[in-house]
Amino acid sequence: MSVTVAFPALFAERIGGGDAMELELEGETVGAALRALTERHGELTSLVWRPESELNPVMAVFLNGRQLRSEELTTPVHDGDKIQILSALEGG
Amino acid sequence: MRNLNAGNGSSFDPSKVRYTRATIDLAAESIAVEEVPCANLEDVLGGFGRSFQMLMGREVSDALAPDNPLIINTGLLTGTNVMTGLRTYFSAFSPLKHSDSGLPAAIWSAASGKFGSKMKWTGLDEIVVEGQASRPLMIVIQTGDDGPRVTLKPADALLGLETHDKIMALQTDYADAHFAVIGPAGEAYQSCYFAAVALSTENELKSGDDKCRFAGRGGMGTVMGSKNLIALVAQSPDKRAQLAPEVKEINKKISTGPGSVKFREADKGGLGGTWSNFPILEKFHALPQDNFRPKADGSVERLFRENLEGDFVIKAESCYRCGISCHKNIYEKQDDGSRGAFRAKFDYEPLNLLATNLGVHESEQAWQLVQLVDNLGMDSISCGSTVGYVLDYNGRHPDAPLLNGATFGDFEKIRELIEGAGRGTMPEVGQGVKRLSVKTGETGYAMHVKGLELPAYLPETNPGYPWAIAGGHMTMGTFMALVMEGDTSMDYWVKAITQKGLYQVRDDLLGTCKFAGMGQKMAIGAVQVEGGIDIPLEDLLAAVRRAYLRGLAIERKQGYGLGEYTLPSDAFDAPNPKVTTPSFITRDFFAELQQKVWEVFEPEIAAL
Ligand code: SF4
Repeated sequence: MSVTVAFPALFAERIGGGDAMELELEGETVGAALRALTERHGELTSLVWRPESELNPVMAVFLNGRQLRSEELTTPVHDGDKIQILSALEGG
Repeated sequence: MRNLNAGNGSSFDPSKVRYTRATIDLAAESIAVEEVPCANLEDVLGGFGRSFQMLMGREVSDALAPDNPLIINTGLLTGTNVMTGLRTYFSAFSPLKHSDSGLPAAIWSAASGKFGSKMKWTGLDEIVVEGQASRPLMIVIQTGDDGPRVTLKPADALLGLETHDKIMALQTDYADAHFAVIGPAGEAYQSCYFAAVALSTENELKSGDDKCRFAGRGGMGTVMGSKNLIALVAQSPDKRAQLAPEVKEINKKISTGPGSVKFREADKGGLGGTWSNFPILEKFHALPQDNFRPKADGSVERLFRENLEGDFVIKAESCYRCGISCHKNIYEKQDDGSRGAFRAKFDYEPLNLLATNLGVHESEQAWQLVQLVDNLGMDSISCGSTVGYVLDYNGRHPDAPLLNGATFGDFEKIRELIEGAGRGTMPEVGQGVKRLSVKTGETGYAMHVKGLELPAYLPETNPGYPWAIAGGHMTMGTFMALVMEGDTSMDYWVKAITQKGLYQVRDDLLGTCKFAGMGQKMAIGAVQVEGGIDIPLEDLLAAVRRAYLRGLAIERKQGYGLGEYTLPSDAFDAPNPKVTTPSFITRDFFAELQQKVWEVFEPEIAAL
């Protein structure tokens, strides 16, 4: 399946982009699409995953605007779906 | 601000931009309004980028003395159509932040609300307040026929009122105006060094609820009080230019894009505000508790947002025309579930430092402490961190406690300490944790860096704290890095501080909120369209970097030794085994980090 994965400026800066960006990636599930993202851009691995292959608990993942729990990364995706990954931690 | 570059086709020349400054000598009660040509891009951008250049040229040894100038200004985008362009900056030498030599450090503090926009709309970009008034005064800025009209008025009638009450009293005299005031803490300036300045919001003036925004850090309310300056009034009709399509697009990205997602509500695709840090940090047992010493006992969960939804109506509200609505306001819930009286605004820092970090976990008690600090007009971070120290000390010394003997969780006595700090009867608390801990001789668990109390992130998770120039999290963007990435390598931390973290201060020149999450391209677009200056991104970033480095340069000038760029010693000597983020801040690590960071910064400071 071809899905869009959107990520924040923090990620974009890390991979040499500018502001918030998105990429078209392949994957059968949300988790697989995120894996495809970090396989293409290894610099993002420590942001997305913990060493035990779990999602970084600081990250929030949305599928078509609905926030997923970490155990929902196995949710299947369809062509054209939009996945968004963001840092859920911020100050103020 | 007048820009004579516009349309002439040549490259950008800062000296062709002029800003309007009022210099007010309170002792002489004289006012001079002038147009000042900008010396560089930092002058054009504004905020601390401009004010720190003035402070750099001053010799000030006592922050409460008349020769400490208080600079009140805006950023290039304040009062424009760019969403969150609402910031007002207060800059001066700080009574709170000081080097071991005793000299005060320069600081700025920013707030949203609508005062800055109104001030800009009168035609005034900056006020420099000099001297000390012999009677309580307020500054009134109005739109005149040929520019801003600035006058001084007696403010005796405001004395003794709390922040919100001062604002509401002023509103009866000044229609279509916004206000910046000190509270009882600022009036008690000799005893309270972390007094804040409260700025009015539209919601506050319309609803009558005490919903100010605060310029809290570094005691700018104390400096205002020391000058016998009780309030500022900015009265002008709203002046909004037509919304350009580019700005419409920028605003759409700000209000719906990833940069502000943390602060928006779930129904706007957001994560519910800074408050959502509570459960995430608690996963790592990195949520400050009992003076920055998490216990991993689950008690902090009682203040998780999800656990309060049943007891209160929680409403996301906003500053003027901001679609982010980051204010998470707590209202009483009536029997039929409808909204009752306003209680408090629950942001991460105040809620943590005035409740969880003091061993208070009951929501009814938490909101009372948060609102008490706001009404007295204090910085919730400095107040909470200093009270936390008192409670910690008393737990360690039950036979010879400080002040009223309060310990963690003792709500009534904690309330007394806060009242005492804010009303000037407990200078031991009001003068901040550095001075108090030096007096007790127990400095290891005094949670400050360079004399400024730590925000609600553990020192053992953030070796970047010492290079924050005006508060530990808003001026050095490294406070989340360990929790976010878990990287403990030297190379990572040197880069995090010298290459990324310092750009956290960009919005403190521009006049926008950090919560807007504007990426660099958006920022440069906003500066072009609404600020009217056409500059490349590299120039913007270079100006931000110079402004930041000036902050370090002033610190060094005010006597900070390299050894003061450190963390509270318990971060090295008494690691908390409950915290599950990687433990890596040893004294050796830190010594090497200091050396490598200064290797980058020192030549740049010398070249300023
Ligand atoms: S993000 Fe929050 S503080 Fe900033 S302007 Fe919007 S509502 Fe106000």
